[in-house]
Amino acid sequence: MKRGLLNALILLTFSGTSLLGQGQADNWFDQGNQLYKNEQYQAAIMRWEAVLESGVHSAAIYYNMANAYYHLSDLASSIYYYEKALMLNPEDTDVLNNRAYVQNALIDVIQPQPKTLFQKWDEASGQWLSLNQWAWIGILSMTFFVFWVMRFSWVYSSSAKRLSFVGSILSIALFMGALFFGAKTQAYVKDYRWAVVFQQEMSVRSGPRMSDEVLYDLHAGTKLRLLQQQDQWHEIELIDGRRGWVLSQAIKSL
Amino acid sequence: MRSVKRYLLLILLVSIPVGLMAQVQFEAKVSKRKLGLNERLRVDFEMNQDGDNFEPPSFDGFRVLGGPNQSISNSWINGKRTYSKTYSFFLAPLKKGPITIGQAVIEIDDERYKSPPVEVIITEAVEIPKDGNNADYLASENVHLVAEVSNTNPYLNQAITVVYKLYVSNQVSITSNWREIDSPKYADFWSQTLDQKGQLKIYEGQYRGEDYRYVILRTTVLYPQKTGDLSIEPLTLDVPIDVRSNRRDFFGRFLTTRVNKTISAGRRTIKVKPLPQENRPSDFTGAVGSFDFDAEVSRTELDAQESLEYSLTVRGEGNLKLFELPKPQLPNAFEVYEPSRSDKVTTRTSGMRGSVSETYTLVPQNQGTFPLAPLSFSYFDPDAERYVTKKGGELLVSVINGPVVESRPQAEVNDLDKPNTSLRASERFEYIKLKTDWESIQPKPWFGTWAYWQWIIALLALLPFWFFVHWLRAKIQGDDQTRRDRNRKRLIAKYLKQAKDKQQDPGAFYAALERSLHLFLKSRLSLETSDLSKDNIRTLLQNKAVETTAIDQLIELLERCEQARYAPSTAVDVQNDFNRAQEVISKINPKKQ
Repeated sequence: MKRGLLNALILLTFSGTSLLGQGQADNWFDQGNQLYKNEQYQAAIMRWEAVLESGVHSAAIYYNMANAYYHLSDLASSIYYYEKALMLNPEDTDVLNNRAYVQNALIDVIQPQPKTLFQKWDEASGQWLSLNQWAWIGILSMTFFVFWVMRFSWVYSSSAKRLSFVGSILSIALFMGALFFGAKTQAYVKDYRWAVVFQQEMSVRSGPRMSDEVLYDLHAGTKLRLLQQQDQWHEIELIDGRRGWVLSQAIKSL
Repeated sequence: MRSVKRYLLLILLVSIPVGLMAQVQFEAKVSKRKLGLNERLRVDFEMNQDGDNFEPPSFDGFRVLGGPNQSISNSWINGKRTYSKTYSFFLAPLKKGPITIGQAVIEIDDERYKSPPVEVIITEAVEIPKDGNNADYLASENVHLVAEVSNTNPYLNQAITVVYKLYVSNQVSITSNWREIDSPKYADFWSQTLDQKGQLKIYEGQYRGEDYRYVILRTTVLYPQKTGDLSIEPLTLDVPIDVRSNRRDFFGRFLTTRVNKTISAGRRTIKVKPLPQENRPSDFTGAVGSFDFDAEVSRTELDAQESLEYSLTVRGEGNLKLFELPKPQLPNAFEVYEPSRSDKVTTRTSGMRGSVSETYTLVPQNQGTFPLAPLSFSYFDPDAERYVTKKGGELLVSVINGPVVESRPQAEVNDLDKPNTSLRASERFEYIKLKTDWESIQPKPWFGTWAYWQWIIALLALLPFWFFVHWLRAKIQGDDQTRRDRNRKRLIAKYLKQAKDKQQDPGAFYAALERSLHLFLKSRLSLETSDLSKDNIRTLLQNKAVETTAIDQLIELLERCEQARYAPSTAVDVQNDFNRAQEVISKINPKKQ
């Protein structure tokens, strides 16, 4: 218990800043940017890879790598890193804009399946805030709850007591909400695992065997959702709802 | 005598070269080399100088029907003497199989000469015994149609050539045209026939070890389309053959007999090997031969809505017309039209050669840089017996002007709710970002972990702790009753301190007491100063559920204070009133804290 608390405390104080080599990461990042400017895309990517290997990342570095891969005509890698950037920052207009460029050059066009309002809401709720944000909201609302309960017992006047009561009810409701959405986000992160096709051309089969019938072909750069895995095979689902089995080596999960 | 000897020597010397020059020939000739058991064979032993003491061979395996018949021919032509002496035998074979006719011996000029042994093959009895001089028989023996197959064990789709040759021996001649009765049909083959144009060329050649003349009737290039044993149907011709007979016309020329003969090249079987399964590339479409592959675009820079041509070409040697060109995988922003195919293929005896190309017309719809995926083309090289994969150049097409994003909906879950309006704002490929904040690449999962719940529990644990502290403090400070007493004392001490100090001076005492009481009422009961009439105090205190006796006491005390200001009282009164004030304050002071 004590040790767990200590861990949590360390986590709290150091989360986000527990990065010893930040200066080095910045340095490499800038070097990569300079190389990109000089159109030495391969070298730039190597610098940025080094940053990632040091254990830190950001939406910007993934975006930069995706741009460099686009200039190297490696569309699959480009899409892969745009998607990585969007995972960290789903709203970034630069990323969305450049990804649209690359998507034009892809071979597959997959129209998303129309969704009901509930499905949309369900998916949106899973992506609303990050898991850590929900965790923080949970902690904060619990703190408020404790505060209001204490205040309730502290004050004497009925109006102050009423305020404390309402405050404690609201904050416990907020806590429950944070738990609910946190669990939803957790489920989303677990269920919605994505991958990008890296093989130039890949067959999607009806089952996890080479002898199974080929349903359709996919090409490099297509994003797909991973459902389940058996040995060397992944069951996938496209955003238009089509499913099938593919060889794991042909795809790279995000 | 001596001169006679000399002359004799001279004659000898002169005659030796003559004898050497007229070389002795002694040969055995057979009318047929192959005959049925019920046929007859004639053997001639022919010599070109007169000889004696002819010893025929034993003719083992034959029965001698007639002979030896001796014939001599001697002729002088332009002073040159031709002499031949022949012993003929007619033989009937007694057994099947190859029989060797042994050597005959003749003595010429005291030398013994031997004829070479001759082997004949005796077959089954034939239906019609053939006469060696029969024109039909001669025609069939001296004209042969042969189908020569370049490779009887090719791979699937490997070119083979079938050459039809008509062999004609020197004994017969063909002077008029033949007629084709049955043309071969090449089922299970892709075939192309290369007919000889114009005059047939006559070649010299050998057929079963004998000198023949031959013509090439036709050459067919075949590409087997099936594996296993495939048969080539025979070519059958009706050939008029002129056979020289033994009769002569008035001028001594041999008379010829024309025989129409149906001859056919035998049926040939070709064993087609399948292409090896191992190492077969996934993009193999059946090309066999030796090829080059090329992919090119007509231009690499253009605007949207302009067109470019994208052509794939395979050139080389092999089954060019018999395979599919690779299908290009093109960016979705390109409108692609059906390809036009052009074949420039010539077929020679070695097979097809040339190029096959497919040209696609592409119209880009959006701006951007579009890499065209490299294409690969695989073929089987039958000579090297392995698969070869050729890559077509990776191409880059830049579309300079044009819309970035068509109204095409973004294929993303993320963007479903947001139309592409935000993307419209920027019509160019954005530059990279130069600043960033770092996050740990593997964020420690916190939500829902034990550590997280520990935090929640720790926060909730503050509440019992808080109440425990409360309770503990209450315990330290004593129970309710003592606390109330202490409170009262504290209040009394607080409000009546002034009055107590001035007990010696009744006037000042009462003034202080009154002020203290007013102060007490104001602070404790939230009464306004302006409203301190006695009736008002009473109603207010009654509203606050203060005991009536206490109110009465308070009112009385206040009245006494007023009176005392105008009519000074005794010290006893002062002490008495102070005690009463204490009592009133403790009574009015609300019990609930």
